[in-house]
Amino acid sequence: MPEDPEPDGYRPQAPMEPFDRLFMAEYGKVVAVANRVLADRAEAEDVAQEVFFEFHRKHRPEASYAPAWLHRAAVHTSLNQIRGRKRRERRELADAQNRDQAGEDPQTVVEVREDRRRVRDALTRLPTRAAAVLTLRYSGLSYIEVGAALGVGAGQVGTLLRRAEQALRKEMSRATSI
Amino acid sequence: MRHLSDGALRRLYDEPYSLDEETRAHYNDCQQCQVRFTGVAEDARQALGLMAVPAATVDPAGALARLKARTHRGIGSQRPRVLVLRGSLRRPLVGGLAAAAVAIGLVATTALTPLGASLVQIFQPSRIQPVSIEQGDLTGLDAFASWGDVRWTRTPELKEAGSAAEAANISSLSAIHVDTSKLPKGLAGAPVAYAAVGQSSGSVTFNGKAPSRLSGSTLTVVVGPAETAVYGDLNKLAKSAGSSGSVGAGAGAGKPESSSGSTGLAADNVRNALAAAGPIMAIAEMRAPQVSSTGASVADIKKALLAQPGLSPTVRAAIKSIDDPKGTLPLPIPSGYVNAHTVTVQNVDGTALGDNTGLGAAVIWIKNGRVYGVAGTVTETELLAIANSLS
Repeated sequence: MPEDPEPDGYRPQAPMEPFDRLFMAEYGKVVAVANRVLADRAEAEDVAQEVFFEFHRKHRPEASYAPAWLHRAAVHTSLNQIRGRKRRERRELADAQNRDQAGEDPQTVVEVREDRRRVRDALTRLPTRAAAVLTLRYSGLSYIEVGAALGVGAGQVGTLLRRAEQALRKEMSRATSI
Repeated sequence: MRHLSDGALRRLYDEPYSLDEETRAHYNDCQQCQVRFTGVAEDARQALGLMAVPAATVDPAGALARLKARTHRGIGSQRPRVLVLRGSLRRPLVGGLAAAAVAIGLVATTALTPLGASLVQIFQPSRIQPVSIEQGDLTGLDAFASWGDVRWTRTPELKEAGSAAEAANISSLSAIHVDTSKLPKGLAGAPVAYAAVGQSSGSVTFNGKAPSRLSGSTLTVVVGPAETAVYGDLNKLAKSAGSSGSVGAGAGAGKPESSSGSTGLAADNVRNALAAAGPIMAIAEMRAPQVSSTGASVADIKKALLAQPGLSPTVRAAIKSIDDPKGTLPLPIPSGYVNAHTVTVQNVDGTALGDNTGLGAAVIWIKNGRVYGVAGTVTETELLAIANSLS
């Protein structure tokens, strides 16, 4: 019997419905983008469900702008979500508990949690476009994909990204010095 | 040429081959640009560290099923509480193993009963454990049938294929390869029919008749793909079945026979049809399905089922064993019609079903996230030889 290196890695049969095809192609990226902001896979998947649900309601899956729309919506939805302090605090508490249960060094847990909290806080203080370009690029999207999501040419992405990285560094330094 | 902008240097760090030849040539000769690049790269590395998060492994097919379940409930419904389970399901066997199921006469008595249609869907099986049940054992589960209707959002569709390779192409599974030297004598030169079933999905939304902890929840099942290879003269089988008028009724009516007398008659008719058709053997492979829930958990469903009055001890034990850590799948076997016992096949535990009515035998096992079955009107020893020869 043939061994299956990825027993769960189902390769969907063709032809698929246009929306199914779009979903299968983009779901991983949308979750990655949301996860980059939220640092929580379950919440990132919830955001992805919301994003695809909204797209399904309002747009055609064959639309050429579909991937860019999804990526942009993932960033904005995630940033809006993280701006709700109570939600964030609950998530951090759960995150800490999970890590405590996993038997990690408590000091490391605290440091990682604090670092992530500071980065997320900094992201919420950055201009939305700066936070978006950081999130999209560090989620693995290409310059072309990032440009499409932000409505700029790929040639401008480097400039936006460079400025956003500098802004993030300043925000982090400012937060540390306070 | 002018020096590279900060943006160009930043892109050079990520996508060095995206810049044109002239720009790269300038960079290679310009010490000033190279020094600036060092600073840009350092900032990028620092940002990468800040933006790092644990990777999120996702299951797009399961997520798509959840989304579809939600869209079927309508816009504005609650955000799904995600519960992804994997398990085996009898319904795909109805499609993928259609020929085998007809051969062993199990469909009419187990897969379409409430137990077969519902309990085994939410599970993580690694092996199959036969559970011998009487018809009366199902009485306590009658209420479950009224808790919600199964709706297939993508119906299983059996597609004929001209070869094992074509079936594999349709199903995206590895081609079924049989060592022909292991085939029983009567099947050595028999025609082979291949078929595949693509992915299908269905859902059930628990209605107001369901217990409150389940009401409103939708279970969505994504099943398949599957493929089969059937050895034997299917035309002769179809003609025999048509003349006996029983095989179609048993497999297609969707309800178990209600009395031992009519079940016995159906078994006789199936046996007659198979005897007239000559030896038949079916080999099937199916990818393990995925079940998602918008609310109800496995524990919720188990509690609701176990609260039903009139459950027999056998069914109660089967329900309790559903989330057994060993991943054992309770496979309902009609008591008195099929003898079941554990066998070793492909180096894992499997279940051999040898019926004592003369209809034939079957071997079912699970390996590497796939459900396999070999069934036919041959002996168990012959079936095991074929099962172990599959590659």
